[in-house]
Amino acid sequence: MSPRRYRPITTVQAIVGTVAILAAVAVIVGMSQLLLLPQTGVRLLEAPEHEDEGLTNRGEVTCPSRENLARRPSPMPVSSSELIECPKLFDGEQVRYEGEAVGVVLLRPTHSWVHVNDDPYAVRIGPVSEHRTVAGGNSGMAVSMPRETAAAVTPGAFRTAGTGLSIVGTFLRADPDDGGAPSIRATGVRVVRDARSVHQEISVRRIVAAVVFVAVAMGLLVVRRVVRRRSYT
Amino acid sequence: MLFRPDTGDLAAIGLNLSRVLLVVAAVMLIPAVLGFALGETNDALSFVIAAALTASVGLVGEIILPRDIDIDWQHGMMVAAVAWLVAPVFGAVPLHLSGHYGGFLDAYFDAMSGFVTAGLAVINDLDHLSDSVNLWRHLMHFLGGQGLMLMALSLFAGGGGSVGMYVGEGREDRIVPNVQRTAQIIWRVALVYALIGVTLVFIVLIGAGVAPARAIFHAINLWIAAFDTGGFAPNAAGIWLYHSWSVEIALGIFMVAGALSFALHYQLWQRRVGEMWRNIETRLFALSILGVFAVACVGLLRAGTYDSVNPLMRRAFFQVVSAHTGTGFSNIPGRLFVTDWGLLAPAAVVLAMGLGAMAGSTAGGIKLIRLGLVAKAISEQMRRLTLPRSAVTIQTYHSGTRQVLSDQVVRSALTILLLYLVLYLFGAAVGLFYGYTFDQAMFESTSAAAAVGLSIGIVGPTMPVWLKITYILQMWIGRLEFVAVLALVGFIWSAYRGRV
Repeated sequence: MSPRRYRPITTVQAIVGTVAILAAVAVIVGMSQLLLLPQTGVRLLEAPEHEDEGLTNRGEVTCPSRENLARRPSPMPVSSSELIECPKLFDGEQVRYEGEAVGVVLLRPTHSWVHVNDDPYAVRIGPVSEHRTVAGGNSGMAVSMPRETAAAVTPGAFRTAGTGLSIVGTFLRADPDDGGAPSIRATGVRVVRDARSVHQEISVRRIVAAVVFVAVAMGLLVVRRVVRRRSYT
Repeated sequence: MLFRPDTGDLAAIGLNLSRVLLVVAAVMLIPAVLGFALGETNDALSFVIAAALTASVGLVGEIILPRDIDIDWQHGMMVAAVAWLVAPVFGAVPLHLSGHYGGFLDAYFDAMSGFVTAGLAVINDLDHLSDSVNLWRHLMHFLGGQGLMLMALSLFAGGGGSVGMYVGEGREDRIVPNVQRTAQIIWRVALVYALIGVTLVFIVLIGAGVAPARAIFHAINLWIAAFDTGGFAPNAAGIWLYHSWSVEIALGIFMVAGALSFALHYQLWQRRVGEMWRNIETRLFALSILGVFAVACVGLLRAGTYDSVNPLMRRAFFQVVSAHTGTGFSNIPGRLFVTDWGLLAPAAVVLAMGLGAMAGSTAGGIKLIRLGLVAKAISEQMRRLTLPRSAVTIQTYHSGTRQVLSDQVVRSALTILLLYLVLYLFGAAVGLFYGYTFDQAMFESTSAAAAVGLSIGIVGPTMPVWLKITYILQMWIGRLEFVAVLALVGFIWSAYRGRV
């Protein structure tokens, strides 16, 4: 403990200190809330043919029975959630899968890999960076396709809604050519939506806040320097 | 008898906390620059705001608090405990402003996960996140993995309490007697690894087919997450995105490197390679990885997950190494642990996560040195039973140097080991309360408390609020390995109830 020229804190001081810390955190949270970009409203994209669950396909997934599966049209429409929740059921089946290319396109000599998401951002509402409406995490499936097809794909990113793809192929629960990871080996790939740029307005409120905060920090830096110089002299 | 702290104690803690915040603010400028360069103006501005805010708070502390107080060990512990709670508050600001979070608590969850190098995430639509915010997620891994205290100690003279700050964030190994010099050595080792690691990962990413411009960004982030045993990845698909065994091997090398103690790195740096084989922890680490891998293989074979050797070896080995090193990278979708891996293989992964790697590394969990010490104590006890009462026995172990196993060391190791088990079970109990099965709740709880980051799908944006708070507390307590947290609880208690 430090030398006794300092007074022990009183219970009132302890309480006041605790409240002050909580208030400071509340101020930071409130400030952060104030500086959030406004939500712009969601413009719904055209849903994939098999999508009938509203905005999200990521709720509880119940694996369909073999009989129900047999009633689906061939190739059977599937979602990534179904493939991951019921991998053995769909293993080796011809499937039709639709979504947005994201991440990186891996161009390999014989075939290429594209990761295709079918979460709400991919198939219904577009990227969060566009509208700031959140609807859960991402969900997708790896798709192996010919190099020339993959070369025309633009993956989704911060300022891009990626190419929308409709894929027909075989789902493999543990693809031997990929060291056992799940994937769809595409036999047919169709572009259903071109990639597009996502525009974000620059926030004037943030510019003003940045100028004010930087000015305060610079001012404090000067004060600190003066205080230090005085304490040395 | 507890004595009430005085204003001088608060000033000493506050001053060092301010210095930690100044370091965090300085690092925030890196993604700000990247954001402006890439035209991600709104996110770049959010980093400027967050950096200025964090720096302002730090500077106020530097201005108003006296600098002539010598901090002691207890102050150091307080600084460590509080800094790991406060830094994520400021780190969460640019995350929250990105608009990818359901609220500030979610951003705080990811910031805590970033700083403690867990890698669990509740972000929405990661695949459309800006590069600057994505880089910040990984820089938090770097700051936390190398050590917030360590960062501050490298730049500011800490005084006598440096040891408390250093030990408070879960480090035990002092490479050289001076803590500040130790901090600088750790930084030097890390920077050399960074140079080699980013280059290697960049090359394998190019080989995997990633375009060069993206490869460099992914290489930096992936190397940070691997070496600091973090687990965040630039995309939601994680390591599955790359479909490349060479990427997995390269990352595996740095995951293991990150899981070795910095004291051992220093020994290797000094060309004392023999220490690798003599050290009780490295031996146990190798044995444990092989043992858990064997169990995982048996589990996968029994579940019929893979029908040939290559997939079995590749998926099982990567997941076991990722879990054991506390990294949390995954080369399969996490839900497959539940839907396709049976029960035994995920249980092996839980075991690996719970055990952790070496003390003094960036990995979390119980740590193998503690397990080794307890095992040695048990064998010593058994040996004593076979000897006459008057016999005197001495048990030794090798960790840097040959050391005698004392009762105090064993008691300390056993206490922390038991506290970890309680922490794992506590999180699992909360998971059970929310209706998850025990195996799933245990998986996620262990992953949070051991700062691993593998997930079977419970952790996500729609997770119940109290479960988020539980995992945040688990990550914080687990990262600090209890000591600093217990010291903080004692400090707060004495502030209210201590004797004046």
